[in-house]
Amino acid sequence: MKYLNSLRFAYCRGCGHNSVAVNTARALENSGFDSLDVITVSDIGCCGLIDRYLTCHTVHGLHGRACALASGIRIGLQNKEQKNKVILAFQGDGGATIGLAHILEAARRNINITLIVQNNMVYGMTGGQCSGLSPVCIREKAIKGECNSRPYNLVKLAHDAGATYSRRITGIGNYSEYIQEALSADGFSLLEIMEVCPSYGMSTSNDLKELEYHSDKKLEEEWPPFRLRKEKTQPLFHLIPKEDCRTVESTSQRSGGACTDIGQKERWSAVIFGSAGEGVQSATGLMARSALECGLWASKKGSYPITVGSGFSIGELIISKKEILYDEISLPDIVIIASIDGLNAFSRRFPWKYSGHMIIERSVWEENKSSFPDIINKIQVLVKNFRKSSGAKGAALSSLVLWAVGNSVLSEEAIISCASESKYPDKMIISIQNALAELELPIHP
Amino acid sequence: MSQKKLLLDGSKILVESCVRAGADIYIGYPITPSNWIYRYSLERFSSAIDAPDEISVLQWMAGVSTTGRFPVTATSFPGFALMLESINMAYMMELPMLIILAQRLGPSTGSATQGAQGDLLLMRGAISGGFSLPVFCPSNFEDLWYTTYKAVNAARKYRSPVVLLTSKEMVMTQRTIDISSFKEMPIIKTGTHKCKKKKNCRFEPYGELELGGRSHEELNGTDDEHVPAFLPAGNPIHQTRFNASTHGKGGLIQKATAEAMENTKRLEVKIREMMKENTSFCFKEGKSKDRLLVTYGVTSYACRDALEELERKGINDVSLLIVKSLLPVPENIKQIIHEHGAVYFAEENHTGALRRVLFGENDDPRVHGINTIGRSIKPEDILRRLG
Repeated sequence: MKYLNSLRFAYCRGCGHNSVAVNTARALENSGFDSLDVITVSDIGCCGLIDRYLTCHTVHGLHGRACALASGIRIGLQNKEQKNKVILAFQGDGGATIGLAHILEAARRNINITLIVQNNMVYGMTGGQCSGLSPVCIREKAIKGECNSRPYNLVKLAHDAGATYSRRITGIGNYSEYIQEALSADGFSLLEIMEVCPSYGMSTSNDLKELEYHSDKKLEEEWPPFRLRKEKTQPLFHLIPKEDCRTVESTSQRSGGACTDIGQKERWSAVIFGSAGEGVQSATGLMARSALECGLWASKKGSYPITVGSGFSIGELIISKKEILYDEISLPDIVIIASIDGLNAFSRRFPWKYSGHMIIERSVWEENKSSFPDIINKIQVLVKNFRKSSGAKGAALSSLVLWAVGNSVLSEEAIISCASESKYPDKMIISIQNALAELELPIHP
Repeated sequence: MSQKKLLLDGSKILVESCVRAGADIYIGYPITPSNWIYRYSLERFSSAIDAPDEISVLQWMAGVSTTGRFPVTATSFPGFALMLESINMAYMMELPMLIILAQRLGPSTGSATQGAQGDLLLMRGAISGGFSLPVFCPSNFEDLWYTTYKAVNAARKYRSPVVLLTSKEMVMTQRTIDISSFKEMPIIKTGTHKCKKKKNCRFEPYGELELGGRSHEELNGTDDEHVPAFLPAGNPIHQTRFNASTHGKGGLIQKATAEAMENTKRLEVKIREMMKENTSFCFKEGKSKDRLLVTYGVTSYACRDALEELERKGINDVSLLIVKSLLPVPENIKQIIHEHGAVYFAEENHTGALRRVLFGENDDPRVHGINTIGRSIKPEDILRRLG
């Protein structure tokens, strides 16, 4: 046969896999495919022994993953001339059980591959143990004490998940027309072939008909098969040709001339403690971008609970005259506390050992000052009411601007320039202006 | 030289470098802290697809790789653990791909948003039989650019999965970076079997070892005879086979035959050749060979700061070695370490991973660990030991 290099298979006598091999070869031949247009993918296990007899391309993978591996091949073969390649996967009932999610995924996406599940109702290679597709009568005898556990109805599951074609047949005689039908489906097709394992399954049932399996009709309702589009994309950032370096530099740091000198200090650091969803990360990011605008180096990192939208949010900012290497902050120059969540996070991070400067929201300060009286003596606290003037989402930014401009770390021009290019320029600029207005007022701890 | 500074996070550099190195499809399952890589990849790769779990990710990548396309994914320990069997499969099938591993605090699920360097020993033992899984490790943002190129090219040329080991702070922190030194690198492709189509000519998928079908020029002057030539699944010239089980040259299962064992042993030789060609490290030699500080990845920043501080104090007998091609450990790295008296390994983990890769469980009095868990190593931690 064109698709087989031998008919002397390694399967046990009477094993249903013999007829699957012959019927598959017959179906491929009758469908008129060139053998090099066909790629078969097999699991390990008895069903995977088919490889060596096939004259098409073969990929022999792991237990339970042939369907996923075949899906990957289809994802790889997306060019026009590759679309007609036939991808045919083989799994046993054990493989279909361990890899059930892969089958449902291929069906859900309607990936254009064919999967033949050779259901001989037991794990043949390891001694006849039960699979998720073993019928009740086999399971009751094999697993002591277990009864009434139904097998998966794989055909129905695949159909419900979105397969174009899904069918169960009894593996006796010439059933190549069903394999041909599955191969011709445009989308995911699954053919479950009921067989008997002569070594382990026969002791339980000598006759397949006792198992109350029957052929399903082709299940209707089709969904267009999966296509992966290839799209042209834009670089995440642009490289610069050597000769253009100088030009780009002048545009990227256009307000460099207007920047303040950051003074004698080489490096400034700030840690902003606030609440998730209240602009802590965007405020810290804006300061880092503004530093860049001033020709300085910056690092910005954020930490927050995995839920992202609740609890604390911490922004860490370093601004430096030279390249920053180690970028963790042990003792910041300024701590900003913008909310109660922020205060709690601060007390975990610096359990009252902090001795630098602090800007704290008035509402947080009023409610909690009795709980940390020592801090008044140790550090300089600025109490501000930015939650009122800039809103909860603008308070962190106002405090940062107050610190950065007040200490000549960054220029207000650079900050406003960067804010105007942000996602919410108007709101940011209001928060910045609120901070700049405070610079002219006397500061009362 | 003029500078072009940008504020970038490491994930962005990694993804941009992958695409420019010719990786053409991203297959991902999101997991912190690799989720920014996922996000940028969906935006940047010309093809990108979300898989339902990490086993599917690796299986799909393997399938894609059999067709000649180069897949990339990013994950962290829990995802990597699920991928492990499939990575072994791809290793045995000799399928090029890149797996970016952003380390986070373990064991187990640990803390998703806390950085760590705890997965090196897992990489060391990832392949059954003790075979070497190649691991590269960028130590700064510039490395994220160049080491990624190197990893993609090495994976393609030597037909193997390659791991790029990084960590949370390297991929999620934003930093000012001068990118004027970032340059496009040459792309080295997988050697394809060249055959003037003769129907009766036989192709052995794991037997075509002579230059892997490539000319000497294509191999950049190296003459590697351990990489089989490649023909994609579905090619119209020859039947090809890919096999995850023990197999001979023809790609069919053979149970421990001499031919199959030769083929299996070749995999280790191949990966060692890969590392020999791609050895990458930064070595700053001190005034004597008394003390050596060894590190990798994100801890390199603290080590560089500490070394500068030592020099300011007039202490200049400490050499610094930053390893970027981690596994299998290249000979040059071993040599530098053995040339020095006391060796200090700085790693953000509790038990010392690179230290144990190099010195095992033996208590060698000249070997010292500088370790932290749950926080980064600070320059002061190093100065306390070396100052």
